Amino acid sequence: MHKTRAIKDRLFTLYILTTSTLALIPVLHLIFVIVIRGFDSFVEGGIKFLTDVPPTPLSTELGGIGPSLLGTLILTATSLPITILIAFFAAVLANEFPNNPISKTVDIISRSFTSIPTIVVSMTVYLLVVVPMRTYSAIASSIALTIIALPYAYAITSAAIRQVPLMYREAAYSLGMTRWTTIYKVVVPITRRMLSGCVLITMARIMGETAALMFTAGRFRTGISLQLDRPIDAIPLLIFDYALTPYPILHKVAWGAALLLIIIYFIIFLAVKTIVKEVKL
Amino acid sequence: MNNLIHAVELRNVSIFIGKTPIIKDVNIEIPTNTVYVIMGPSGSGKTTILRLISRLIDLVPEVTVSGTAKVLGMDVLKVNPYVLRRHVGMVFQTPNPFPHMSIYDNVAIAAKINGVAANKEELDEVVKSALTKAMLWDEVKDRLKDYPHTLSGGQKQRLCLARALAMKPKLLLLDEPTASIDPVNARKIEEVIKTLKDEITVIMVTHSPHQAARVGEYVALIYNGGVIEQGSVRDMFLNPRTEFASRFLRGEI
Amino acid sequence: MVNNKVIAITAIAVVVIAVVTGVITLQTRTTQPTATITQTITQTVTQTVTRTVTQSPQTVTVTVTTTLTPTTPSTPSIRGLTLNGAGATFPYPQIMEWIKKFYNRTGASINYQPVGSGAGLSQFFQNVTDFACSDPPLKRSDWEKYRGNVMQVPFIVGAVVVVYNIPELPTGYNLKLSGEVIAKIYKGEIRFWDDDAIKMLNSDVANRLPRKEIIGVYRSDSSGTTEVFTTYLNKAAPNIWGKDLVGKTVDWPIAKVGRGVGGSGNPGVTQAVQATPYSIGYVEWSFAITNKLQMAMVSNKDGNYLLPSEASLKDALRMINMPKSPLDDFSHTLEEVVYAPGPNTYPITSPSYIIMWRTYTAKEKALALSEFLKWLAIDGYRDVVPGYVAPPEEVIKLLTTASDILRQ
Repeated sequence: MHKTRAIKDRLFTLYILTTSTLALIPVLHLIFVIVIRGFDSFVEGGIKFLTDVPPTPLSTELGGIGPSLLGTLILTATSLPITILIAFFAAVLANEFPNNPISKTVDIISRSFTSIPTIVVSMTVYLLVVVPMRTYSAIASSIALTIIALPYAYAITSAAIRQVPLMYREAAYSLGMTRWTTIYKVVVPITRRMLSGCVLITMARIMGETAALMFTAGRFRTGISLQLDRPIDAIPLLIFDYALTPYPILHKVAWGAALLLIIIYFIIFLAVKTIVKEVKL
Repeated sequence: MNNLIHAVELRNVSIFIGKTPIIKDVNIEIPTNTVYVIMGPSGSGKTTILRLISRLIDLVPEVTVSGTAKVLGMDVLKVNPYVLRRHVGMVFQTPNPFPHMSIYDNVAIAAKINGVAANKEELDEVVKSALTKAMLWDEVKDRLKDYPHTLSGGQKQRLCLARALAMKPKLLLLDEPTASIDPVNARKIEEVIKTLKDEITVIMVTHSPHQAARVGEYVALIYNGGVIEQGSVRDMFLNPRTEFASRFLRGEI
Repeated sequence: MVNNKVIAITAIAVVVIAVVTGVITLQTRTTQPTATITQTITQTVTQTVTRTVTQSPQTVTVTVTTTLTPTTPSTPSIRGLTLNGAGATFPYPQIMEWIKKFYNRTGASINYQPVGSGAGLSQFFQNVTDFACSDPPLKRSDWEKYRGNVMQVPFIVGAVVVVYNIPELPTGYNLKLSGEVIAKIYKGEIRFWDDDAIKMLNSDVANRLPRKEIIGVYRSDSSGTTEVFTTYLNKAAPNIWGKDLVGKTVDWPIAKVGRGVGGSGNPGVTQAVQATPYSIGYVEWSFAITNKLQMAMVSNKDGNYLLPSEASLKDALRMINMPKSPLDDFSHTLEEVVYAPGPNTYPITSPSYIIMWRTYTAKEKALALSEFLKWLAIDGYRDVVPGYVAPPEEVIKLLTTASDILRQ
């Protein structure tokens, strides 16, 4: 009897390991393909791949993805902080006042909006921002990205704050801390690992979003633009446009761009994971 | 406030959660500078009384309180809760040191919030004296920068005690502090409690009559939201007035 | 218990965010793109000075008459200006080339959004973009609405090719397929590659044609390419391929008999044909060239079998009753160019139109656009991307005319 239990246990462990690996294989394969195909572009382009303008079908040189890279960085730098701040603020409030009708509404809305089709957001922001401004812009793109990223950020932050055990709050109150000091000095620091995870997930979402930029960004690829009220480009948009053409040189650039996006994200991911230490409850 | 006879006065206090009564028409007077024990079987409302005193009752939804409750001369329900809590320290049933702060910081934050220390040296002094009073200093003095998860349950609870003491409170509330602690640490904590009464009024909740006898000077027996008996420990234990008290003290309830 | 402080902080935060957004939007509306337009004007100045001296020393009257005669026409600088355009995905690769060359030459940027002809036109009419690019020209009704204010020029020409995947045939060989045969194939009526109808058109490889079922690949998404292709089928074989089967999306009969495969976009159809032996499909010429697909020679109105080429595409364009001015109506031209008469016309030719306003409130936009059209007419068609062909001379004239109109 004891033996069959042990065997069953081993079999089940094996089953879990196998299915988990199978689930991971598509992702690993994807990363593998991007690395193989994108690596060529890096080698051929060198450091200029990060600064030059993209090639055209008749180009002989590989060029680079300078404008798109800068655009992605600018858009991330503008949407990410705003998204995190709003989501954080809303999550804290919803947690402190759970019975408030506003908190309940925010909860319901954010849950339904996590699966909103992003092209719809793009069209809406187009009508609300691009048409009145009469131009594509980085602002319109940031707004679209923020709208799409907010429900995720809110859901994760809200879950993180909710799972802080009540007893730490009570301890803080018993010491004489006000509601907000408690949040700032006790609740938030305890969730720092989850919050940093939230920031990473939101950042991934923003950096990789394509449909949101379709009608809002403007695809400014001839040079560098730092103006927020003018057209801008982004790496996923470049990849999308170039992948749909039949020209090999444009495909090469697209693969290189995809690899670059993964590398940038991976670096930031590693940095955050090592710096923010786990809080052992 | 220093000339108060009673640290806590509860007159005709009733507490309802929604429609359910938790405390019914309770009258209690707790003198200053004693160890006052509130004891009774589980679910009798002892913790609720304690939470009323520190105003932590606010955290419970749909709660209504009637009657007069005075803590340290202040009307509990009308005073600013943060003002009240500065003078009331609390130790909870499950040890809850802040997991993201070092042992030193756990004690220091209590002092910093309440303005007990003016600079780094004074802070070090306050932390050391609080940890010493809680009989924890010798065990942690070499690892003040470590995190609480490296401590045992008993040590964690003494850390919470030190934290509460660093506030220099006038009133210390203990909610079944040794319920989840091993006997050796429990004894240590009881030792500490007995030394505190000269400066602080201690109110302790317990469901063990033996602990009440070891530690307390005055005691109130609570059952079903009402006070069955109250008085000095000697009186209650030698001459229990009610049948319920006798049975409880013998351990039959 | 909701703290009043909380409400106050929330309100302040909302107000701050609203104000900041409002300020930024307002700011962008009031600041127009500024660019320096420098013009060198040579003037001849004649001065006539009359002096009246009186006893009172203060009065001196000086009259100056100046006549300005500009001598050399100016070359204004458009460096730093941006033009925004949106429209069809089909001409995007050629537009990419133009954008780069024009920027290198003048320093003016063009941003193009390949979002489809329909979306491109709406964005143009909403005044978000400065020009649009559309595979079909403006409908008569739309043109009437903006008559006198809108200009069109068919500024680049492409083609739709019929491709196939028959391993038995050598890669250099081009199978001959008539419009009628293709229509029957997509209708499901011709089932095998060794059908007599196909053999008759290709006697030299008749014995190599295999007895395999034909798989018809089509566009699963809404597509202008489908529209052009089905227009050809309808014109070449109206009794087989009715008008109800013409359009951007089609209810493909071959799919109904289980021999159809849908591909998303030109890349999708290309991949499907490459991966499915014995399949047939239709793609833009640029995709057939770059992916080295087997191309079919299709029959034109005169009965000749042709591949797309610079000559055959230009000939098709010449068959259009081309309007004399870009301000005219072009709605009839699409019908005229597909299955056009002529010995050497490629029957599935597809031009793309640039659509722009006659006047722009921002003068520098008109200037930049005018310079672009002028440059196109002179230099733009020197290096054309494979798969695209320059329009014939009469169209180039239209470009120059449009450029001049914009300057007025």
